[in-house]
Amino acid sequence: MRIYQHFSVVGFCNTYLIGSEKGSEAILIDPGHVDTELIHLIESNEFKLKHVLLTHRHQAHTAGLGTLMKIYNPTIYASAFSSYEYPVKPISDHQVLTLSELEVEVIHVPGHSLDSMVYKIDHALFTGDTLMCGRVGSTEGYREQALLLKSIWTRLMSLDENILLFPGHGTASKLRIERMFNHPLLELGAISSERQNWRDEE
Amino acid sequence: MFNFKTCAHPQCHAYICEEGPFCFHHSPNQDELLLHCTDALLGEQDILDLSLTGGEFENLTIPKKAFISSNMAWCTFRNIDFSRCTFITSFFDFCLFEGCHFNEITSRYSIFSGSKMLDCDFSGSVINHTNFVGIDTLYCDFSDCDLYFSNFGTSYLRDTKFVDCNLKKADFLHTDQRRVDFRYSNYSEAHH
Repeated sequence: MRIYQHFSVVGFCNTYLIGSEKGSEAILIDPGHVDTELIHLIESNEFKLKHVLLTHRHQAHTAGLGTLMKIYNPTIYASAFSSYEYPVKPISDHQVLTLSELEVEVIHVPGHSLDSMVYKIDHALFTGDTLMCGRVGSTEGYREQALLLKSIWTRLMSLDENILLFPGHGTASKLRIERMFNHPLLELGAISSERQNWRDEE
Repeated sequence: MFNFKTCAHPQCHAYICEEGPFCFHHSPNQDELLLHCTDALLGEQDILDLSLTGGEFENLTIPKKAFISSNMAWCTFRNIDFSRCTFITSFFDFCLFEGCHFNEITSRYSIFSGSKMLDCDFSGSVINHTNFVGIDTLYCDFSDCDLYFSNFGTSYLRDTKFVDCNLKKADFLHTDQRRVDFRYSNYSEAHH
């Protein structure tokens, strides 16, 4: 499997291009901005772009859809919680898709937004704005933050710690690195457990 | 990307080396693997999809080449000269780097997280979108580097220089800094 990372200077979003080999069908995750560099990446690898996966409906992750549709007309997959101006195949939690000869597991991790989806392809996890290197996604309030942390701990941190993490913003990482050094995750996790103990004592 | 198959040894989740069912630690022919890897490091060709975790390397001067989609996590590097090399989506997490030179390197989307770096020189490099989270540095020099979007969060930095660096969108949150020099750098534009 080949994974290419592209940085969009418009929304500071990471776009990922994934294909099994040169000349094969390919998947694009979060087209934040389509520029000549991204087109060159697709074309130089002779990829046939067939599928687009969206982690959530925020402009920084979807603004390039229009250009992509004009050039490649791919099938778009996104959470059923959101609607888009282009035809989208709705996906849901625990679904396993076979796209471009690759198996894509869909994991629903709400909190940053209700429609936040994480995609696991082999040992690579594409987390969008849920879990990023050294931090977790922003949330509207403390209830959403609690939901996000719970979702991350139960759905992502239970996976193999050697799994590679490719977030929507910032640098790539591994689950082990986030377990050890993700400050908000460790700090807020501790607060949650203290509260739990306090309730137990009560 | 390097091979995602995990070691055949029970309870071991490390990724296998290029050939065979085992990771380097559980491989019966470690010497052969290490020799093959050293040859690749010293050779002319780029390193693509290489995976070897936990190896030890000493006193090597790596010729100008690219490390692409490779995994050398948990390795020990002593007195290795990586100068003018390129690192793209390569994993060097939880390594020990001692007396290593990374002058004028180009690094994008690479990971050095959790590593211990003693007396290492990165000066004059372009290091964008690179993960240094949780590193432990002593007598290291990142002077004259473009560190755009690189992340040093939760790291322990001692006697380390960041003189005349571009720190726009770099991250120094929750770092423990002792005798760290940010002269002529735009530290105010970094997250800290």
